[in-house]
Amino acid sequence: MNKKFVLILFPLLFFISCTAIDSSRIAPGYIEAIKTIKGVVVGYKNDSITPELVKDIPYASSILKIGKGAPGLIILESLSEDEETWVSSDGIYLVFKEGRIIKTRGFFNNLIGFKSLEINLKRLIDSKEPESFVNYYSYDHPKLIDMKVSGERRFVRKEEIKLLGRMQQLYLIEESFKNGYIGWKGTNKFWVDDEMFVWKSKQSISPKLPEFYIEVTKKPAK
Amino acid sequence: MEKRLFLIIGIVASSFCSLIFSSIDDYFPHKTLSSPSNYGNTGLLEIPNARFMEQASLRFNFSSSFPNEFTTLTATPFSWMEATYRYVEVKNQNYGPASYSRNQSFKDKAFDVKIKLLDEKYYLPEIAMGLRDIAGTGILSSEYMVATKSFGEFDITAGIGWGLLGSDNSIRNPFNSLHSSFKTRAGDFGRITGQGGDFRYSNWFSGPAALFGGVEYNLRKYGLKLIAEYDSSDPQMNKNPMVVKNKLNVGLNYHLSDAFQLGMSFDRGTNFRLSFSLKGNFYEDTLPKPRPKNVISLNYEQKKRIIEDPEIFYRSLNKSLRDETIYIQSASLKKEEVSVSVGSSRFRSVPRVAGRSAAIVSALAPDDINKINIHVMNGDFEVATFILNREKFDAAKNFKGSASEILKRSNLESNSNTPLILNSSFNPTINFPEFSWTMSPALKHQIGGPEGFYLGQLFWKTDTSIKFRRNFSLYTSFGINLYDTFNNLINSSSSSIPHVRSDIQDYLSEGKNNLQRMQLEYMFSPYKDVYVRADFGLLEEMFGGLGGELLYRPFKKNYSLGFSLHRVKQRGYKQRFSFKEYETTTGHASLYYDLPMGISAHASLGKYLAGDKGGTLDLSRRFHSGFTLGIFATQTSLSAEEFGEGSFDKGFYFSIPTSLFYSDFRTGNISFGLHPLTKDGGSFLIQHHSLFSILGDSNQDSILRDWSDLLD
Repeated sequence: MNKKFVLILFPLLFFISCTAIDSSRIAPGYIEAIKTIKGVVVGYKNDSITPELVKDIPYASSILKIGKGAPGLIILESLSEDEETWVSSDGIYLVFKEGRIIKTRGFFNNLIGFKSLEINLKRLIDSKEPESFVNYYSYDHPKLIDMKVSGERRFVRKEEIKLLGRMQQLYLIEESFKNGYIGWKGTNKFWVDDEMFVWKSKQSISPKLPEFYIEVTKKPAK
Repeated sequence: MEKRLFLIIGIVASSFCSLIFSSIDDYFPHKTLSSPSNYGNTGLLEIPNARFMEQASLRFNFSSSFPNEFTTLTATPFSWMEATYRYVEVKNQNYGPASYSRNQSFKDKAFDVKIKLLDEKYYLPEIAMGLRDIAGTGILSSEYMVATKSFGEFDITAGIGWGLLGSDNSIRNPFNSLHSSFKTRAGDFGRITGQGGDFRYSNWFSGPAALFGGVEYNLRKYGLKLIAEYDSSDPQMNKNPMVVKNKLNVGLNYHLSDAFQLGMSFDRGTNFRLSFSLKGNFYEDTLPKPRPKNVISLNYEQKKRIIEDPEIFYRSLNKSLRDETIYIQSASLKKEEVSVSVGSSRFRSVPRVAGRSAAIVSALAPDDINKINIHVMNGDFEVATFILNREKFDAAKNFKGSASEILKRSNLESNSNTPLILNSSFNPTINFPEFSWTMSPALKHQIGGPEGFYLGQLFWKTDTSIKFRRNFSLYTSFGINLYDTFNNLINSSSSSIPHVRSDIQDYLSEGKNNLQRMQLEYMFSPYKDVYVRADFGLLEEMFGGLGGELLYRPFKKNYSLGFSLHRVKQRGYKQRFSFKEYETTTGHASLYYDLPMGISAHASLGKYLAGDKGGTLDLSRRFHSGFTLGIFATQTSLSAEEFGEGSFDKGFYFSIPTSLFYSDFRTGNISFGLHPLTKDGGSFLIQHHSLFSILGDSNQDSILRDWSDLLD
């Protein structure tokens, strides 16, 4: 058997076989491993969350994707003053304030506190001048109180963004941040509308967790 | 007085705070903890330190330079012990004559062990002692005692070495004053002193000694570790002399993640070395698994109907259990108690199967029921019965009690010879014969042979089973070759005893498309705690025949006794239906004993496939996650010369539950076992469904070990 044949055979075995052969007859570990490897390499597609599905759900909802994980829906569980608590089907809780994650529950490492000075995105967009900031993050497991993170926030541009099933003009705000001591750094992105409502964001909330991608699919009623 | 009081309160408060709040240092993106030395065990570059991996860790390390290249596997069965298996490739030496090993370079196998003597204290360093190449050819044999102490980001190591590590001969051997035998070392370190396989105790800590030391500096922000060491080994005196321009080695390690490290170093002022290591810790399952599914309790009207028509209960039970991938085998609903026997290939933990089943039974059962009996089956054997108090169980499920409280009001039993399936009101219909099959790609390996370090085969494996009735099945397994490198095998066995295993090369090269197994099997339990298995057919790749085994496993004891006996004939190399002339009777009496800390001992005495008589001792440790590490050794009536290289059969194995890599439960394992050499002496017949493998992990002790899973 020559090498060319093997090169052709491998993809056949590992990818096509899933559909050509009754997959229940393949040892389930292989099927799951292939799905996992595909997911890790190319990420997961959002093909199960449709506008129709969102419409049928009588609650405010968002799509949450963590790192390269599969996207899933989170539902608004409660609303108190300016904090929203969202929950996923696997018991992850996220508390948002003005579109920013300020608390989590259900991860191996949770954000239990977030402190910052007032964030005025409207002023930032109007002035077009970047502003520096200092935030403090607190975590459990392992417990850490008030880790200082400093950075710069700026308005980048207004752009048309594709949200689930529609296009919308939104302002892009970027935050570059870092903690020099442990070498944690990154960039958060927020896409907001004229009312400063955050429709879409990419947020880093802990050095131990991957980035969070959030897209609001049904806005909470105020 | 007041000032002193404030001072005391301040000290207490600050120490309390430090207990509550851990440091920001825990949040560095990469940990720069222990890293492997070139030899695989934890250390600096050429020298060891007193650090260890966390217990239940496995590390693969590859370290390449010229002329020595090291490929190692290191495991920590305990937090105080590290064991390393190593292949050394000496690139500028040949394995043997070209007719024997073509142009393959010289390879040597070695086994190391390191033991922690003292944990690091505020003032005291961590102290360890170790042995390198303890039963090998002696090329790298060394012994050492070493101390390591951290000072902030620095880790300072100093030690004394013997053997190759003592070849600098920089100090007088401190053991000389204890006994004159420590003054000399038989043979020369760094030189092959025989075929290997012997423990040369008399050489340990003997001969010249030397001091070594080094420093590691952690740049954790960048995941870097900088290393400098004084290397006391003197390769100029080695079998294969190397130029030494400098005794100082320097290097750095980059921690790409907690699991993956890259390293580079400059050794002896002459050679660059590159390395990488992959580490996993399997002490516990860190991936969250699905919680039990919610089962909505039946209302009063529905429960009333169940009392009138139990069939509704059985059908509801069947459906709800199926949602948890638990399969009902039989059930009986009585006035005050319900008994259900269940089987599941999804859960490894027996209490978890029982707990999830009991939760469903409780949600569906009439209110008068106060006792829930869950009979857990593995295959067609009933392995344990959980007699649960419903009130306590429901309270604990509603966070008003605990698993321990359930245990106090529950009983555990095993009635293996009177299982519920033989005496129940409901038995799901099974249409015999029941046919099932699975298939998957699979690999075969031949590692470390003279023809090549790695020879292998990728094949398509198909397993089928026909169950004629409960406990009576025909298992078939066949493989179709996809790709292999076994044609490179050129050396036939020269063993002077029957070639029961050493003809492996002929089996691999001629039996690429093979019938691995076709085995008829019958199992039953004639008496309480007594199990019997009889088998007939092509039992394994090299032998066919008939025989059986008997296991006495007293459920409430921590031991089991086994006896197996087979009359077998050697199969043809093509592994189809032909046989060779050699036939023999083989059998063993076995004692299985559960020791504390998850350690299991398995001792067996008997006659092996080649006709040699002797005993095997197998010691393993199983962690709560299911991860198992084990070693074994066999000594038989064969002399070291008859056995050949290695002197006696020995090896190691590990088994990692696949569920540790997935977000759902599953029962499979990734298993790896290694005999350094494929020899005829001390060879067992391979038994695919040994009774202990089916029943060994379901006695009372095992159930109590996993009892907290009952509510999970």
